[in-house]
Amino acid sequence: MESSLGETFSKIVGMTGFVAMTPGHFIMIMVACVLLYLAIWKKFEPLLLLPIGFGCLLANLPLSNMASDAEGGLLNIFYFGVKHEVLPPLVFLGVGALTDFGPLLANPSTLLLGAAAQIGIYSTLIGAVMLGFNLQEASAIGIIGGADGPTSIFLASKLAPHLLGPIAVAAYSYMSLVPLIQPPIMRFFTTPEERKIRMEQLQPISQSVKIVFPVATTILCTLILPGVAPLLGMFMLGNLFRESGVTGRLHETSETHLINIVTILLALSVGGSMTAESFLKLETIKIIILGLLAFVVATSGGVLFGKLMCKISGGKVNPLIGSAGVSAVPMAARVSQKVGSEEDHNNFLLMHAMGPNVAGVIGSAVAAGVFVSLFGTPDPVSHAALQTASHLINPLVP
Amino acid sequence: MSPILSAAFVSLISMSVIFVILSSLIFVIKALVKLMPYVPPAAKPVVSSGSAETSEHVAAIHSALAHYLGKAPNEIQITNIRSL
Repeated sequence: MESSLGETFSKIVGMTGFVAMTPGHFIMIMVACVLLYLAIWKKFEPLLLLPIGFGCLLANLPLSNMASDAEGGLLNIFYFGVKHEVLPPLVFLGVGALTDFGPLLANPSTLLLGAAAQIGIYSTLIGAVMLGFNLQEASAIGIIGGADGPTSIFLASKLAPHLLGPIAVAAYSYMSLVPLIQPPIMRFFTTPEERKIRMEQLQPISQSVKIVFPVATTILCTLILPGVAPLLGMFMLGNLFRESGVTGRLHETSETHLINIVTILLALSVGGSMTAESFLKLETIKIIILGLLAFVVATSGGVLFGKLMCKISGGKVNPLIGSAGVSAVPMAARVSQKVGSEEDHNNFLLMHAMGPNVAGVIGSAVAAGVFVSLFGTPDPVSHAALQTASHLINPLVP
Repeated sequence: MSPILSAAFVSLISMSVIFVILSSLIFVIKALVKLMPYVPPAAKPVVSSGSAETSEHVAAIHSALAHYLGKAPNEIQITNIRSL
């Protein structure tokens, strides 16, 4: 009886997570706690870092099998939504429902600032290749410079799923640090006189333009670059819910409940992908460094292009709004407002900065579309459709 | 082609594509704004139930409200003023 009790006790002890704990698990639990600390006490992107941190915690508790693909772990099931490109486009649907294109439509030339700030993506791409990543991995890392979490997750899951955890953490961490990263760069590249420039009041835009714009953009962009359809299409659909005025319930759901639910699933599945085997690598440190480079170069590119527009327009454009071209809506626009108001308390740049800010979202979605077109594996359905089409066309060709 | 050269080439092409697409959108927006210009809603007559309000008062209130709300004066309509 005694030996039986002892055996049972040792069996129970052997079944606990403590026995299966490895140094890797321990380090990852510490990483999860750091993320939770940053989210709760430092308020760094709490809506995302908190579920990511907790997902990371659950995935690294030994024997919980939460992230195990063999055992049907819960987080792994959530991850299907990332793997099959469901969750990031749904976040874009919600973001579209929350976005007002008015400032962009009133001053469309600010779209160029959103394009210029994407330089951060490409400088990081080259940097990543120099550090030994292949082009697919480098593209997924580079998109961190787009300062757009769902786009980063979308592209990483398509081109470099093994790097998803570090890329998502770097993207969201640096997005939360935008108010710290951007102002010194903005001050470095601009003079006090430039920061004081007051911009003309934006003209009102007709509701018809606001309704037609998302439809026209979807048609144009998707025809030019089909790879952009999942993100940009959902973004524009969300905005059409908002502007059409006939889908109040869908608009309300998209901008509140849907985006909240999807954010929980997306962040948990990203956290679940942060296992010790995938995260504790030299590549993670490289990605964190490259992510910072991406944000710095993107901000610099936006501000420098803003200076160029300032010169061309004869001083009508405040270069500070260029930094908002990195996306990170609406935080980057708020930073432009804050740095501008430090020089002139009565200078209101927020609405002007929202133009490039929204343009940055479109720009980073287009950048992701370019990468998908260049490096994405061909979709089997599309491939089959192409084959069928070629069979149909061939007999017609003399 | 070396990987770095390939990356530089990809970057150049991608940046060009982004500028082309976003520049096309600028033209689309300009065309839309031209085709569907903003028409301010017809202002309803101001109904005044008090006796002391003059057009100068209404103009002053209009201007102050527009400034406070950060909107253009033509975006605001004062439809009713009542003495308290």
